[in-house]
Amino acid sequence: MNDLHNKLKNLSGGQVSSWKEKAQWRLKNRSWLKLSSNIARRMAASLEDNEAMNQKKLAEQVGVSAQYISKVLKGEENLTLETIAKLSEALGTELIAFPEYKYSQSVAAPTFSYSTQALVIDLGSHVRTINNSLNEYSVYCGHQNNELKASYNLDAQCAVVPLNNSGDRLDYKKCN
Amino acid sequence: MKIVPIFAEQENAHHCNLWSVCFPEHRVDGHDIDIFSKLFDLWNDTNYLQSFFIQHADDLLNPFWKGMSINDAIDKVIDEALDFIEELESVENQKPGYEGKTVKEIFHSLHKEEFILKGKDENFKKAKPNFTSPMLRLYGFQLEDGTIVITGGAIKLTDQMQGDHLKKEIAQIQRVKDFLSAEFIYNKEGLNYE
Repeated sequence: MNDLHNKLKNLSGGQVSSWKEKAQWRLKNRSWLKLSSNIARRMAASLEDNEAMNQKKLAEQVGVSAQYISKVLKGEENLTLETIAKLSEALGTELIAFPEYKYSQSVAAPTFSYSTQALVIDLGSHVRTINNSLNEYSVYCGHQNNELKASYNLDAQCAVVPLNNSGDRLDYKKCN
Repeated sequence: MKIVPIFAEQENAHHCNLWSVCFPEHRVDGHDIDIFSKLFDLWNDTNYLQSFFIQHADDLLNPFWKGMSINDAIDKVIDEALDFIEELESVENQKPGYEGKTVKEIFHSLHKEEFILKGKDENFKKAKPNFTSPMLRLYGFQLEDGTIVITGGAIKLTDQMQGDHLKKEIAQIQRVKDFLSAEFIYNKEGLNYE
């Protein structure tokens, strides 16, 4: 047995460092702790900018204790959506934000242009909402009302219709 | 003052080669908080880190930190602390890939009594273009058999900071060395900070 470590052990008072339990908890919960920390930073910045608000007032408005707000600001609280919403409202600031996703873009009508050879319909964001069963476009030549089927390329996000007559007024509709 | 083992359970404490100091001024409600635990609590405390970096915002302007924001700096400290803890746990449990690895291997000694903590995937991170050097430092000293005693730590942003901060750390190191000397426990080389 190591004599030096026995001497050290006698100086420990039977105690062991308390790092491990917390460390395991932090590692296990690392992903949401990062979110909690980011919310805490935005709360602290908001409190800093708003002279009329402080931790005590915030606690009162949210209906929690000042000690709880202090803990939240440490960035290690697993906040509920309800608490986040209340904190956000009381501080008058967004504490979480959502990234753009495919359905958050406006559904713009397709635009089209044509040359003497072909009509090109730019499907734009419209293409994202196309269902397989609705993947066909009918194109009308205005004065003849001839229906033409368009073929389209999802990657290019456009539909192309070969034209026989140049300069015709064209319109389109989505096939049902 | 107490010296407590960081790794082993108390009955196996004599196997531990990493120890931490409990300073009486850190006692809370009758409980001794060792400095190693206290530091990792601080390095995970968002409120503390935000205040710290607001106070030292000018130091982040150093090109060394590549235009790092206060927000990024907070992320960096938390990540460094957790990466090191993960590494420490892997060594303790001798996880696959860590067989035979010792604690001393993840403490990179910068100077005699200043350690950089090697975190998980250290070499991989160094290869990244946005890599910046570690901010966290632990201070301590080695005993005759190489056992490390942790006495303090810091977030180090500049060399100048070392000048001010190091005095406090040196004082802590000396205080612990004196305490251990009185118990006939001696450090490896003795303290000779010039």
